[in-house]
Amino acid sequence: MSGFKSGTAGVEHSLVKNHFKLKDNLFGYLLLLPFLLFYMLFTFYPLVQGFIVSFFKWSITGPKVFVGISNYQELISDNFFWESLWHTLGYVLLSTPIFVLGAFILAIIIDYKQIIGKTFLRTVFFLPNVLTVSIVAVIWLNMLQPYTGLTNALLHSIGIRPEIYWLSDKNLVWPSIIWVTFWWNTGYYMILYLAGLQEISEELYEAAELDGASWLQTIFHITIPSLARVHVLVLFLQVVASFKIFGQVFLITEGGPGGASRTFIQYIYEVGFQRFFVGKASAAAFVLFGIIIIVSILQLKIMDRYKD
Amino acid sequence: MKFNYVKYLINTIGIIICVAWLIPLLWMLAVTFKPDNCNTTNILNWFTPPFTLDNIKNVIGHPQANVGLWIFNSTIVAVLSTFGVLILCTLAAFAFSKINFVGKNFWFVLIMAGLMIPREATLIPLYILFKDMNLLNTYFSIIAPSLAAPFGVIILKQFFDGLSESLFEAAKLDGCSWLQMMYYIAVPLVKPALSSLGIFVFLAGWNEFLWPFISVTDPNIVTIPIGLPVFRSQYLTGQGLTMAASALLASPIIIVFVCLQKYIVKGIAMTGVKG
Amino acid sequence: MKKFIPLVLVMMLLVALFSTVGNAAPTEIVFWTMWDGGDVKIAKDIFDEYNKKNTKVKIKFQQQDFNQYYTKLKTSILGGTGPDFAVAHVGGFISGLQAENNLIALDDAAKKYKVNINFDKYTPSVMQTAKMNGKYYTVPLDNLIRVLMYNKALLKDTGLLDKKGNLVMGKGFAGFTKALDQVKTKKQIQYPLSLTMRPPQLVLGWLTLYYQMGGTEFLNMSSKKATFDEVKALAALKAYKEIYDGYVPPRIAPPADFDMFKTGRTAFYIDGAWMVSASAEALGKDFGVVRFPQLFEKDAHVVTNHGFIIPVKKSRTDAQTKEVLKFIKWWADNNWKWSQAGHLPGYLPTVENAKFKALPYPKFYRDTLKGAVPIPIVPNANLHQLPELTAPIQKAILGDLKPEEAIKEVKKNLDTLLPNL
Repeated sequence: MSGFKSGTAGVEHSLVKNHFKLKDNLFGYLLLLPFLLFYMLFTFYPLVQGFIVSFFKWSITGPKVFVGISNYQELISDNFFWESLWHTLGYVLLSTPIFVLGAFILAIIIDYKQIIGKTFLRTVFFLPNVLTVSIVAVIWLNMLQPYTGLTNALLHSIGIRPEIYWLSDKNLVWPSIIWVTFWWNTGYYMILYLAGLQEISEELYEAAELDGASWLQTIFHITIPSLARVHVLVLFLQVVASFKIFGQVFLITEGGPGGASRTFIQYIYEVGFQRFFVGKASAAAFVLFGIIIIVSILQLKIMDRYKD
Repeated sequence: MKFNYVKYLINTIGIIICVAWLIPLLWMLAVTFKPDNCNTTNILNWFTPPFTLDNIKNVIGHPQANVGLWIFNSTIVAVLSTFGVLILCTLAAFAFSKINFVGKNFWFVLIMAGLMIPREATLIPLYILFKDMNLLNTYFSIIAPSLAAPFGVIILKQFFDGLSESLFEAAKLDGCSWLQMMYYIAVPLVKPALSSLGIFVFLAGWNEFLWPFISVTDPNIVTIPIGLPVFRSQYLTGQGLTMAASALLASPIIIVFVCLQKYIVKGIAMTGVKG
Repeated sequence: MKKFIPLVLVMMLLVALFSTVGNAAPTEIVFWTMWDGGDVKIAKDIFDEYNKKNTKVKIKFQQQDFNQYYTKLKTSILGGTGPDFAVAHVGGFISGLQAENNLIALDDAAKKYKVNINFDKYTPSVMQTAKMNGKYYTVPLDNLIRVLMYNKALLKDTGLLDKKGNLVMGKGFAGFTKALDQVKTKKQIQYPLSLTMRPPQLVLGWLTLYYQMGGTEFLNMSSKKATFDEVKALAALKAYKEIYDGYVPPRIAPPADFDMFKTGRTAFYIDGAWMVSASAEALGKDFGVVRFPQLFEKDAHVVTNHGFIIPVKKSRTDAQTKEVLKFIKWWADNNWKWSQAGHLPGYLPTVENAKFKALPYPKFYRDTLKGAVPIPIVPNANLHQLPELTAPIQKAILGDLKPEEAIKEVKKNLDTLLPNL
């Protein structure tokens, strides 16, 4: 079971194998070509353009002025750059284990043999995921209001009297954001786990049952190991996605209170689309890009080693 | 005896999560179907009259909203995106998973890189690209940037990797070509993954906001997410309208999900030769 | 007979030809705005009315999401797919657009197309900031201000309402806090004031108090430094915080501020005049409004404005530009219609207009215009939205940062930022 990297084929000597290899190369590229075409044109090329722009000062409708690495230097001396980077890193570290574990738990609940209303639960757990970000923001902005929100109203009704400032207390704003994002996005990873659970053979469970294993034991000895591929996938996707967190935070807290929930992409957004320092915003985006790449490489190396 | 205890626990947890998940959605429905001056923080109010269909009516009849047109456009975008992504990514993922070709790792890493860059960073260069190609304000311009979806390749490759090698070795010995192996063996076995991906891509295509918003100025190809702001108010008043619009406009995806989810069901063991 | 018929046919053809010459298709112009909610409904009505009255022109009213509005405007100018005219906030963005030659000078255009726009009758202080290189690139179509709204039912028997049911308070800061105290004690409402906590509004409130205390020039773009009087700035921030600490529900956040006022849990509500119509609708006859009080020595109020701009657009014809200018003039002459949304007009003669005077609420706060101070201009940005200001100010009000530290941070941030703009 290899991770994302597959070993390249060894050097072949025989003529037959060489011929086979040529056909492989041809066919491999043939299959890859359609994807590659769109990718290079509409993802990679703008990426490169963005990188080039990071060395200029530009505001979309004005002239481009070459400034070398001055944009990057400005970033390093900008407090908001560091602050928002710090917030985002913290979010990645905190949210990833919660989301991965949560998605797994949701999936095994649905997959449980004697669960009641499986289809209903599956639909409900996934439902928040279909909502667009602005709606999620409006719903939770209202739910988490002090004085007038539903959450506090429910807490009051069970006897908790003080107002809880979910969004305006700098210590509570991140747990609130993690909860909202968890509610919104976990269904997505749950689906991947469900697809993976589908592949585990029934016979394994039947055999374990015959041996007298408890449900919990089958989870730890059969389910979790068999889903190794999906764990890696979900972990990887969630880490990358959590670095890019922006929409719901911006719409719910606008980065507040006092900038406590400003994420890194919000910083890029403010610099690039509110002040139109497109070059500086590009530079920040590539800093993020670099960080994500380093983290991903580390992640994959650890995964590869762990798997053996 | 032990088994019954677990069943009780799991079902209870399931119900609790269900309730926690549903309350915000029910609130959304409550705001949709109750008049604006009603206090929706009192749950008892949700199930007692007065109710109103005014919010829904106002959404459909809104003078600046062309809800029918938006649904049509969103459907085109979402459906075409889904087919496009599934085709492109299945071909690419199969190649990465099963075929050894020169430069394979290089291309795979390059593609993963695309997953890591935020859309905000490529927005302006993308806009200029389409402007230079004279393709702004077309369906193609909305769909094209999302077709080469790295996460599609990554997900499918993971699932293709999980298929037993022996299946393919047996097929090769029988003289199958790559195309036949892909179409007759690999693809049917990853149906759950394809369905999952299909759902995600449809959803993404349906809900995509930033790029269509910046690039589309022709009211005739406006999709739902970029039309929706017509219903919101930055002053957060009159939410009945906003909620009604969202509830209404989310319903097509829910239907798609309900239809596709049966393909992600643990059914008869169809794993073939499994190591 | 045979010769006669072709002649008749030709005659009929000629008659038909000439009768259609007069019915040219209407000139179409595209208009963009970021308005939404209650604003956009009233705006749409105004535009519809104009289209109906002027059959030779058809204005296509297109509303865009306010968060991405300027990005979309800029990219559309770049791509040539933009509007013929649009709304923009007077201040940094307009000066930024003009600096890159993306706008047409309005006075030049008015002269060229012979549309008589009275540039001198708009709010003078705002027109000063709208002037760049000696030309006008925008005219304000309103003045955006904060107002003090109150609930007449809740203020009954507090001694704060006169015979007509209108609010009467003592003068200055002492008078204002005394009024709030009266409501606190007589009505047992611990926190009687809803204050908008949106960071841009917080900054505008603080700046207003600063100017009311006699604060001088806030920043100087020639020296690229923050030149504000730090003593007065600190005093203004402390005064604002005193109001917040004593009378506003702790850590309140929008939309709870409006919701609490709407449901009668607070007696007063300070927010932008755009909330007037929604509040009036909610409270009905119990709704009252006065101008944001003058709390200190000077009568000053920081205003922001929406202005009309005409972006550069190659495909716009002379006829279209002329129609745009004609609309702008018509808007000025009918500025009272926009005041139905609660805003004060940008075209000053409107204040004497009978129809404006007949509007139920603006008359209570139109005096705010006397002390109008336009927000200091920062190129390519809005001062009150800069995180450099909003973060420290919001932290100070919430008690997460000492006011002295906050003012120091604001000065430091601005001094670092301004040279880069």
